[in-house]
Amino acid sequence: MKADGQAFAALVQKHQAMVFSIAWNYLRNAALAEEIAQEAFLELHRRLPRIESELHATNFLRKVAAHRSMDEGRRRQSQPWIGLADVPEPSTAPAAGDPLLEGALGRLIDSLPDRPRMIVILRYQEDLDPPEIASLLGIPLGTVKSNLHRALLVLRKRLTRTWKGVVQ
Amino acid sequence: MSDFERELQHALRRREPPRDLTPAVMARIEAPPKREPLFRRWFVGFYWRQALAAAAVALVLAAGIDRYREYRRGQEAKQQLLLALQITGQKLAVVQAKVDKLNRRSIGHDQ
Repeated sequence: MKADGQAFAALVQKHQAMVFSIAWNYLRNAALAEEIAQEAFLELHRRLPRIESELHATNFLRKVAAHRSMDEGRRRQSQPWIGLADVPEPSTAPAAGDPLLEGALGRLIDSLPDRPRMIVILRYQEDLDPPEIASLLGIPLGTVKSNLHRALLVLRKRLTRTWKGVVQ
Repeated sequence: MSDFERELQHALRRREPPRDLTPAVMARIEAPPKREPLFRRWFVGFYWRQALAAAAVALVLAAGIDRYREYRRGQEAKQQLLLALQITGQKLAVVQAKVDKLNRRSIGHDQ
């Protein structure tokens, strides 16, 4: 794939919300998420001659963002810290949803172990199917399915305790 | 998709970064690569983990070879001792036979 400066800048513009959100939803730290997003784009720029299409570029960015986020999460091994300035603006207008419920869900997602957390993010942020997630993370399909199933059960169970009636 | 999954999708929707990343990314792409000091490049680029693993393997091998040599020396000494005992045993048997013969002769002479 060939992209001059302007074309690459357009690519960054187009995909920055996706790359940033994978890292932000995983780490809940805007500064780290920004750094990971920039690194992902730099990595894409280095590999540009081997990138065949825009779809390939999108998948590559997702993969780099997911792996870098998990590496960073492992390195930090600390509880995510969310400052007020850290909370980014949604790229789409918020749909009808309870902000308190959203906050509770965010905290519950943070409490998931590394891999299931990234699987849930890729499934519900990026709308990827389990086979796509398996290929992106380089793990067996069965592992993705079981991790996802277990993560959803845990999330639903924990959420039901505090939000009876909301969770169906 | 259940209500719960819809809530998840909403909580995990894409968000714009606090500031546009394009200028920062483009600046980093266009910036000339930093030249790290030679020592630092060597220090960072050196495969420390592999080197330590290789050193550990070499140490274990050397210790193993040393132990084996010691074992071989012990085995050789044991063989030599057994041979010496065997020769001594044979000599003693010859002496014993001669003493017996002399004893028998002296008994016959006395009678």
